[in-house]
Order: sequence, then structure tokens, then C-alpha cells
Amino acid sequence: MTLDEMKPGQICEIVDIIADGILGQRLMDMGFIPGTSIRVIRNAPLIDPVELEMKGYNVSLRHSEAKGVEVKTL
Amino acid sequence: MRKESKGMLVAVAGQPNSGKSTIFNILTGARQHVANYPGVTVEKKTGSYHLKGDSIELVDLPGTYSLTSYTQEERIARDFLLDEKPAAVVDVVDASNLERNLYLTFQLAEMDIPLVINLNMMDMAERRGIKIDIEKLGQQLGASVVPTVGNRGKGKKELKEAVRTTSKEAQSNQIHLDYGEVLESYLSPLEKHLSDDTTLSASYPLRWLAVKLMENDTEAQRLVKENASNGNKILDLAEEKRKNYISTQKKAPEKAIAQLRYQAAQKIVDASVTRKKEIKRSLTDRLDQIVCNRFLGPIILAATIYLIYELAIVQGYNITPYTWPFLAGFRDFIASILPSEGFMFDPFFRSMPLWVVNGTIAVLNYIPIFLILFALIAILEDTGYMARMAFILDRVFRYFGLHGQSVLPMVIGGLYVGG
Repeated sequence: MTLDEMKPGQICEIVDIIADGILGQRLMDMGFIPGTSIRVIRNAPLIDPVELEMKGYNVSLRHSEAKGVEVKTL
Repeated sequence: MRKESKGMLVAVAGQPNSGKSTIFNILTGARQHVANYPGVTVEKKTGSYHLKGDSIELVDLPGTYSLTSYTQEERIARDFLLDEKPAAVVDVVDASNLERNLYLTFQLAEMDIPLVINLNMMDMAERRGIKIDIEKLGQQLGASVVPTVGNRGKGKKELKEAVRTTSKEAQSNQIHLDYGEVLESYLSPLEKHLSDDTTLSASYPLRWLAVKLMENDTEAQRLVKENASNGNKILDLAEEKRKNYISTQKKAPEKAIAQLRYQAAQKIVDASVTRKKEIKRSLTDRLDQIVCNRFLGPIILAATIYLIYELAIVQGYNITPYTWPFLAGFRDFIASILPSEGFMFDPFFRSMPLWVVNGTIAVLNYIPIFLILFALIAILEDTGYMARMAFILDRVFRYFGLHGQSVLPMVIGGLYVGG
């Protein structure tokens, strides 16, 4: 399952970063590391982007970017 | 009189939104120059300060989350550290986001430059219930840690002093990140090979280079190719090690490296940070529920933009009848001291200055509008609503091939043209 499939309010844990190249590296730089738990806060009014909370801070991703993160629900 | 010696070069690095510019400003004051890095449109700010007879030359590096070679900003920051070899780096760290910021700290430390860790925005961390044991953090990291509240100038003196002593002592930092048994068994032979090359070992931090080669960093590969006498052999070895790692560990080395940096950061945070329940946060969350709401969000956004238009453009314009007489009076005063009008044509020394004055006051007439507009934008930015606007509008902007971050120029441009 990938992060873009998660609904607001759900909590999940990162399993792997599937995206490679610059997107994969940037996601890891921002703290998307396997084992980290993520809470989906909300979608923007036009669905994209999605706001997430992890490691005590909030970050917004477009769904196309969130597709690069493999997760499992907790 | 001051001795005119070239000062010690110090770079200011940090992640975006760590308050890096504020720190740069309080360190250098008004003594700043703005230029571009050679050949690119990335701004380079330089400045200096003097303390106890020493002169410190500061360079503001672009804000980056990491030090890969993927983006221009990261390459610039990295090349500066490699080529200019500053005496020290001030690493500006957002105290309320310690873990993510330490991720960059480890990468800076790997470049073998003395570090001063500046824990900035301490007030924000406190408000969010984060308590940091400064002494413990310093011990854990093996570098001097200076807390500051940049926008109130708190800790400025201590930071200036720490930067001076660190760059004077020129001691390399004690921060050593252990990548674990497996990765280290790949890194140390690679480092050994690199150290056999005299050109490389004289110009570059070898452990950093070894890590970068394992990460498959194209810029690091170029450095080796161009500088080492048997560069291709080293690159072949690195490639072989990478392949071997991927096949035995079933994982790209760059992933493992990023993960280990975060693990190390988390360990340090766990040891030196205590969290209380956040009070401030829940208020922000509740406000976000309203301003980012699917239906209310766009309405509030439209209302906000209309309010800015009404206050800055409409009301600002209403003020101009009161300010205009002053500008007109100024023009009349200038006209009165210039040579008198001619019968057919005005003399050049009358008409030329009057053109200049007329042109200037025509622009100055808009000052009330600009003052109100910029004040309102500062409020949007400081309350954090600008970020919410970007969040709501990103999808719209993407349709035009823009990013949600384009919200500020769009709002200013739209309001101004509209006005």
C-alpha cells in the first residue's frame, strides 16, 4: 500500500521508499524513513496536496509524490 | 585603527526555515553585500564583524535539507565548503525540529570543517513544550552548541564569541557518525584507496568522499575522475562495492545511509530532549481545521484577498489626496529654485530636473498603497496564513505549471494589476 491511498485521520508506518532519484532522496531527507509513523491530517480543498504529521512536524505532499512511499496501516 | 588583514572565512549553513537569514543579519548587522554565486541566479550574501581584534567574514549558504548534488542550491553549498574551505561553519538549527535538522548537521560534519551548532528559535521550541538540555546535546554531538532567539537578538554575543573561538582554534569537529558494521566494512577500504591518491587526499575530506561514492553521487564521481591519477580505477572499485552491497543487503546504500543518519539524530534527540504536552499546538490545529476546510477554506481565502485589495489599493488610494500636496509642494519648491521659464522653450537646466522630479513624485504617490500592502503581507507571512494559502492553491497553480509557493508573487501581482 502506498501513502497516497491513506485517508485523513489514518495512521501508518513507512515500510520503504519506492521512489528513486531526486524524489526518493528528497523524501528521505525530509524524514521519510522506514519505521517512522505518519498521521494523515487532511487533504487540501482540491484534494492535492495532502498534509501529514511525522516526527513532530507537519509536511505537505502531492499525491503523486506520496505514491513513492510504501506504508502499512497501524 | 583597525588592522587591515583578511578575516577568517565562516559559512552560515542550515535547513530552510531555520531562521538562517535572521542569524546572518544579527551577526553581520548592516555590513552586507549581495551578489550572485558565479554563473547562477542564487543569491550570495556576504558580511563581516569584528570581535576582540579578529575579523570574521561570513557567507550565507543557500538553505538546504541535505547536501546531495541533486539541486543547484545543494551543489552550491557543497562546492563552497569544498573549494573555499572556511575556517568554521555555523550550522543554524531549528530547535523545534531538532531531529530533521541534525540530519544536515551530520553531513556538514562529514566535510571535516569545524562546526558551531546554533540552536535557533528556542522560544518556538519552548512554546511547543520542547525542552533541550544544551550541555548534554553539546556532549553528545561533540561540538559547541549556542542557543539563540534570532528575531529578538537573544544569544547574539555568545554566538559571535563561539564562532570566533571555533574558527581560531580550527579544530576539526568531534562529530563522528558511525554507519554501523556492515556499511563501515565497505566505507573503510574505499577510504583507504582514496587516501593512496595524493591529489585527492590533499584537497578533499576522504571519508566524505567515500560516503558520497557509496551513495552514487555524480558530482563526487566527477571530482574523483578529474582529480585522481587513477580515477577510473577508484570509480570501478566504488561501483563494484555498491553492486556488492545492493546484492547482499537488498537495499540501495544511499537509503541505508539516510536511515542511519536519522537513527543517529533520533538517538541524540532522545538523550537530550524532553517533551511536554503541547498547548499552543492544539489551537493551531483547531484554526487549521477552519482555514483549510474544504468549503470554508476557499471562502476565507477569497475574503482575505478581497480584504487586502480593499485596505491596500482602495483605502491606500484614498489616502493619496492627503499626501499629494506634500509632493506637489516639493515639486513647486524645486521649480522655484531652478532657472525661470523661457518665453518659447524652457531652458534645459529647468526642464531636465523637472522631468526627474515629476517622474519621482509620480512613483512616490503610491507609497501609502505599498506601505499598507507590505504590512498586510508581513502579517500573512508571520501568522503562517501564507503557507495555508499555498496549501489551498497548489492544485490551481499546478494547472498553470506553477508551485503553491508562487502564491506571494501572484497575490501581489494580481492585487497591483487589479488596483
